[in-house]
Amino acid sequence: MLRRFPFLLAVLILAAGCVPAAAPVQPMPGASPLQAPQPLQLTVVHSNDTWGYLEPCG
Amino acid sequence: MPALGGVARRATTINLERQRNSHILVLDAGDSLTGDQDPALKTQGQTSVDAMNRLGYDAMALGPTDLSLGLDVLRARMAEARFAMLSANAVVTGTTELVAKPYVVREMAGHRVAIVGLSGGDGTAAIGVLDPLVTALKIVPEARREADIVILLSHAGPAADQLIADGVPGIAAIVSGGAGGAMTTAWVSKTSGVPIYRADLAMTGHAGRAVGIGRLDFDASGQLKAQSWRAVSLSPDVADDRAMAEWVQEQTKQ
Repeated sequence: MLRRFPFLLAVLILAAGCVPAAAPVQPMPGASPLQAPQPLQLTVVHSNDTWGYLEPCG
Repeated sequence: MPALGGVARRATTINLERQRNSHILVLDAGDSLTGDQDPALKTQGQTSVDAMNRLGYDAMALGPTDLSLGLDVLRARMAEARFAMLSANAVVTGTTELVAKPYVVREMAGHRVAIVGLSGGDGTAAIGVLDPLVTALKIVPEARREADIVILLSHAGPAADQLIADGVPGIAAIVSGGAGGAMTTAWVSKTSGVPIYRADLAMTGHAGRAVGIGRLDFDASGQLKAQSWRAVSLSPDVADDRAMAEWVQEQTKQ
């Protein structure tokens, strides 16, 4: 049927070229895609005021 | 009294917690680059950064002794660090230019966790320290736009930290340092429920003698549902991490 209507065929070809097929989703700059949030048990190990000491002191 | 502290024992403690839970943050609340002893003094904090790199720290807040190293030395230490040195309120004197990043964001279990740094003290001729409470009121909402959980890493001191816990919405917990004494139990705000953890108080011969271990349970929406905390004294009962002990020996020989 399209052979009978070359103008319609041309329009369809041009339109197909304009539509990105299944374009990959790009993460926002500086952000990465996150998994769905889950309950989180977070451990925080912390120090303070160590003065850069490397060895134990009495 | 037995000798307490040391990075070899700290390494053992951190490694054990890493084995128990992969969702872990290792943080320092400041005044940890240099103090009154070599090799930290002689190297202007270079050995401290090296140790913290080896220990796998995620972030530290900048305290007064860290700021006293001056801008050039601080920038050199920041370039060497594989962890973030943070301060939302330390600025180049006479400007609004921050000396360090105000916060970093880590991703865990589908959450974005922001660690916000605050400095305390009066600053130096080259570095000014802005009011911690005023800064927290501005920076925490900003961090919350990028994260659903905010941990405040503060060297502002206990009075300021308690005001912040009571009056600044959006904080899950405060890890504290600076003058004010070590804590044996967490202080929890009656207003907001925000806990404050502080492991140690530096004094000659006792710096780095303890670490704190907090466990924070968040639901899927990022709400803190439960928390517990304990201070761990790094006594001789804690075995040395061998690799770290060997590294310490090399540093102290020099």
